[in-house]
Amino acid sequence: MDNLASENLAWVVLFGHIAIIVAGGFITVLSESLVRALMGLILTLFGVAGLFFLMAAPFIGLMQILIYVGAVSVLIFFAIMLTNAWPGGDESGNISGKKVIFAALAAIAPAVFLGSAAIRTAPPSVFVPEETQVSELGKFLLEPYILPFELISLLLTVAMAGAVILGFERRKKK
Amino acid sequence: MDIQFAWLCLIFPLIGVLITPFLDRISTPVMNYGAVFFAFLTAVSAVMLLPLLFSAERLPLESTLVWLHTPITVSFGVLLDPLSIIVGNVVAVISFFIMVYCLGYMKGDPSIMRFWMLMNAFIGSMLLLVLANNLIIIFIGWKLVGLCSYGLIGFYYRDERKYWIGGPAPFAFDKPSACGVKAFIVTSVGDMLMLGGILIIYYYSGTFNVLELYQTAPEWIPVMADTPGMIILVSILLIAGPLGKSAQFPFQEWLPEAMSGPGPVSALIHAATMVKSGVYLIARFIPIFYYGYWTAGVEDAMNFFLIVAWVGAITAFLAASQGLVATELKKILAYSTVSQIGYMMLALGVSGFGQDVLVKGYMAGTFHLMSHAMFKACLFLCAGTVIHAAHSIYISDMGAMRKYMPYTWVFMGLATLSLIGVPPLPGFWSKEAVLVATLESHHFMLFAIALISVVFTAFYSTRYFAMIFHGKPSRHIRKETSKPHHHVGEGYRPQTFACGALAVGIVTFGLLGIKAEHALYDLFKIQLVTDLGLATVAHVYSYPKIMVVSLSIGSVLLGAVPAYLFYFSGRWDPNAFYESSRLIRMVHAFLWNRWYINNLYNFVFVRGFMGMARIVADKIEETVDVLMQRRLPGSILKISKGTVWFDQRAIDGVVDGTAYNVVNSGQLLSRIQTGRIQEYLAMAVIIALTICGVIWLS
Amino acid sequence: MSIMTIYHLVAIFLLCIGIFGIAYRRTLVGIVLGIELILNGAGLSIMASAQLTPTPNEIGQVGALLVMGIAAAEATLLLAILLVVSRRFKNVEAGKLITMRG
Repeated sequence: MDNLASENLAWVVLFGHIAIIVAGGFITVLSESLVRALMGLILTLFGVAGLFFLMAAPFIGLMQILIYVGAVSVLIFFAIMLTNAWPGGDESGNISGKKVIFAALAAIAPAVFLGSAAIRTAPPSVFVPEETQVSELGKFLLEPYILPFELISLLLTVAMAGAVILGFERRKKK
Repeated sequence: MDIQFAWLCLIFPLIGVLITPFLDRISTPVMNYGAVFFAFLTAVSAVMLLPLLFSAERLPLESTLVWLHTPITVSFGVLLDPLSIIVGNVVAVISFFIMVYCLGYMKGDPSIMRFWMLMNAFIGSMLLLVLANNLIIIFIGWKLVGLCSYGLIGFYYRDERKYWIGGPAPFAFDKPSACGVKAFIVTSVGDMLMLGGILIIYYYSGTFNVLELYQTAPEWIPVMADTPGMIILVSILLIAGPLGKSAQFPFQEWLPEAMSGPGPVSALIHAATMVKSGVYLIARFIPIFYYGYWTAGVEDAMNFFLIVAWVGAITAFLAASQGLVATELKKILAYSTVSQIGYMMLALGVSGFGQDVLVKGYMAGTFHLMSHAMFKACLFLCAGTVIHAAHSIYISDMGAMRKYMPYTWVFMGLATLSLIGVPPLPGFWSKEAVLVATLESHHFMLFAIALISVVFTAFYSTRYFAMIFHGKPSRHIRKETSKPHHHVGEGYRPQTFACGALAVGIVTFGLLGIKAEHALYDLFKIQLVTDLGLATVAHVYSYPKIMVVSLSIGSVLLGAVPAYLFYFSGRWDPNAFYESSRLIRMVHAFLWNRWYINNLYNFVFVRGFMGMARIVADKIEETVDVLMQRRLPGSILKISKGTVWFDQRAIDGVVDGTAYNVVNSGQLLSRIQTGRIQEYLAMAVIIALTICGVIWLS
Repeated sequence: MSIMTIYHLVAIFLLCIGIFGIAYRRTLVGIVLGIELILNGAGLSIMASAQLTPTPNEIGQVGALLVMGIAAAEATLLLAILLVVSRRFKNVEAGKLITMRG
């Protein structure tokens, strides 16, 4: 295929999504208000979903939006509400320089090492990904990967039960 | 059987010594009589040997027991020849009488058991010395006699005031224990020299046996003479022992101090027997040196005789002069003993001066030994009685005691007359024999000295006799007799008996004087000429005998008459005489202080050694002491201070510093754990990724 | 530099941002947000590795799904723990949740 024109578009779309992800990430960690941080997270999640679409995996992209943005973010909203975190500007106040340095170092270390690892040991990659059928995915889940499938459902059940137990407030006997 | 009596003579005293403590358990009188009984048995055994003298051709007899086989054969035996039989009898018989005297004299003494044991031991040792057949046994007997003498002189070793001799005040006193030690040390000096001489003789001759020495003399005397000066050296060494034991010059100082022992001890040891052992030994050595000079032609052997004769003469003169002015009774008798032994030495010495005088001199010396033993023992025993009666040792404290002690007066008088040399008592015969021998040897100087000593002897004997028994009673005596229970009188029965027996012996011997002299002459002729083969020449008298007799009686009168006038009748006053001239006073002081010889010895030897000891103690011991006790520990302590400093600073510093640093770093490191999980997480990520990255990327 | 490498770098970027957020944020909820970012980065990396290589695509996609499921379960539990902690300590600041002395 000659993708000369589409190639440029593809690059733009790619880097646009990457820009969204980067922006969202920075907003998440650097904003003072928790709600705004949450918004940043949602932005990042949308960016990642977009990248999934670009990788010719639309099903997973949609799943990303459904699970992450639809459930996890709402969950975090409720957490913010329930823990009486002040939505206005919770993350305000002076942060000690030591903490900043530590955090910065902690961020830079993996960046340096893992980044150089990724660049050096990159296997040869296919330029254009192929899309797989969802039915293929379903078959894959039910035959070779049946065990993880079952286990993840078990995991989710246990997680729900655990959360309920953890959050249960005993009614005081009056 | 005859020779076995000699062994019995040695065994009986030994049994006496051992059995005395057991007898003491039974009771004291049993012990007393038992000890004396053993002395009696010894005397009997000795007397049983006398018949041998009549068949003198059989002598000498010898009986030996082999004692050691290797490395050298040492045998132990008895030798019987006329000399040993005669001297042995003198010793045994007189010892028995003295033991009888002790029954009375020592009655009531608390340590009498020790006394009996020492006396019996002494008798045994003396007989061992006399009867032994080899020089080593003689030396053993010699030293044993010295040991018993030390024990008996220092018998009153607790030094009670009444036993001190010396003085009178303000002159110094001597304690009995010191006197015993002095006697032992002085005689030991002579003994060691003699031992050296004996060993040198052994080196040359290879034997200690006396008879063998005589018989093998032709072999070893020339060899010894080849070494220049050896004969003279051996002579001097061998003479030194007898000089020490017999208290001759220069060893005479111990005998006057030996009077601190009990009276019978002085009689036995220092008059009759022990001091005669020196004379006996010289007599034993005479044949060797006589042979050396006259037969082997060794010139140096004459020195032996010269030394003996001159020492004898000088001592006789020296001691007699000291006796002129002494005031202690027993000291006078001691000086007399020394002087008379000088006569014996003189006689033995002149026996070697000529081939014709050998037997004469030998006989004269031995004869004088016998008679002197008898009368001197009697004198000492009577002196013991007198001193006990008068309660004082000074003759100036006595006087006019004749009426209190008639028996003692008789016995002592007889013995004194014998000492002076009045015929017909034995002292006269023996002294005359000595003078004849000296004159016939043509040594007129010696003769003159001997004569002068006779004068002195007469003087001092008369003096003490008069001062004790005649004249006016002294203040002391008057005080004593005025007490209600005074015992200024005769002693116990045994004492009188013993003195009387000895006096009887003196008189009998004196009456037999001429006969005894000829008998002895023949005996010794047989011994020396026939048995030993010593060459002699028939003697021709160069001087008429009557000359000697008149000279001797003349000198006796010369000495006795002034003393009679001084002390008997009081015609001349001794004090006036003393005050009359300064020279006399100086002479008196000189003689009184024993020619200052004692002081000289004291100064040189006693003070000298003590001074050296003090120097050693002060200089050497003190410096060593200071060094060891102070300097050495001091320096060690200083060194230890250094190590203490090092320990505190360096070692403690390291240890404490390490601990401090550990604590510090712990405190530093504990600041990592803050409890904040975000910091933990950040640190974990950083470190984990850094390590993995470094490992993986390198 | 292939596309896959770019995707990987993006994933690494998300990881770093997430770690920074965990270490930097003051409240616990902020820490949870960081965790979500990291998990997203992980899922993206798995997808890219599977899709853009000869590896069968299903593996990557299933992997991404599993990561998402786990992330959800984890978020649930995290927030339940958060509730408990806030009741216990009366405080949701990470810096104050210390029982260590000294």
